[in-house]
Amino acid sequence: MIPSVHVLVLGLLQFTVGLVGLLLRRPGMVVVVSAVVMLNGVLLLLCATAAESSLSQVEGVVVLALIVAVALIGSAILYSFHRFRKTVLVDEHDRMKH
Amino acid sequence: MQPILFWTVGAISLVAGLVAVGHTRPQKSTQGLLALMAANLVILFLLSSTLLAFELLFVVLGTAVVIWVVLVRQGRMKLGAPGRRRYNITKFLAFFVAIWLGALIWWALNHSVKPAGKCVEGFCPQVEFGAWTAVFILSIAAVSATVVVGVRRHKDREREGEAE
Repeated sequence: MIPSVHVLVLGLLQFTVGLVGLLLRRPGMVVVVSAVVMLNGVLLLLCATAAESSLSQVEGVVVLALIVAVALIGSAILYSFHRFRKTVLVDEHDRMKH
Repeated sequence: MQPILFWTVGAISLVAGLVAVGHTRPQKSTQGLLALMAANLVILFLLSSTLLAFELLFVVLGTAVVIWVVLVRQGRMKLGAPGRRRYNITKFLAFFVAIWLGALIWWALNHSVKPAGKCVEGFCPQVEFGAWTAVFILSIAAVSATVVVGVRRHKDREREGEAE
């Protein structure tokens, strides 16, 4: 049996790694990947509490759907940016209008 | 035993996360993310969250297919000499091998989670068997892929040596 504290620590570490990448990196693809890493940490945190709550599995499914949505929509936005601005660096995208 | 396995896979997931966040090439970054999700898959099996684990399995396989279609099939990722564009047969075969291994993991886990006994004092034999099976098969896949890629690179180097 794995103690819940271990899972919480691992989830927190994954969340921190993703947060650091989200704040510090400039390439758009890495920003999207960092967001997915953060959501994976959230998924582990939910699993750690699964023993106490029967809703956690359902919430986990929602988080998984969110992971897929973030990856797909993020990639689509990046593709659109690249099409009009010819770059994926997030610093270059300071306008919603192209 | 389970905490040791948990932290081993957890360390792999953290390293994969660092690669995903810190690498300069977006392709490597995406591969790191894929490794992180695969490690999380094993962790979810260890935590007995079978439903989430199977959903994550679908997500990982979907990500692998997208990476294969977008990156590998386009011939942008090359194993051999630089400057030579070719469609890599090894990766094409590796894709089908990966599908076969995925189906095998699915079969093994489906059979291992059948109620063969009760969990006593935190020891759940069927879940542990499933997790070990997944780890074992994934290890075989990783070793096989490394050997195949190594042989291919060695042959490429030999051909380049003959051409020169």
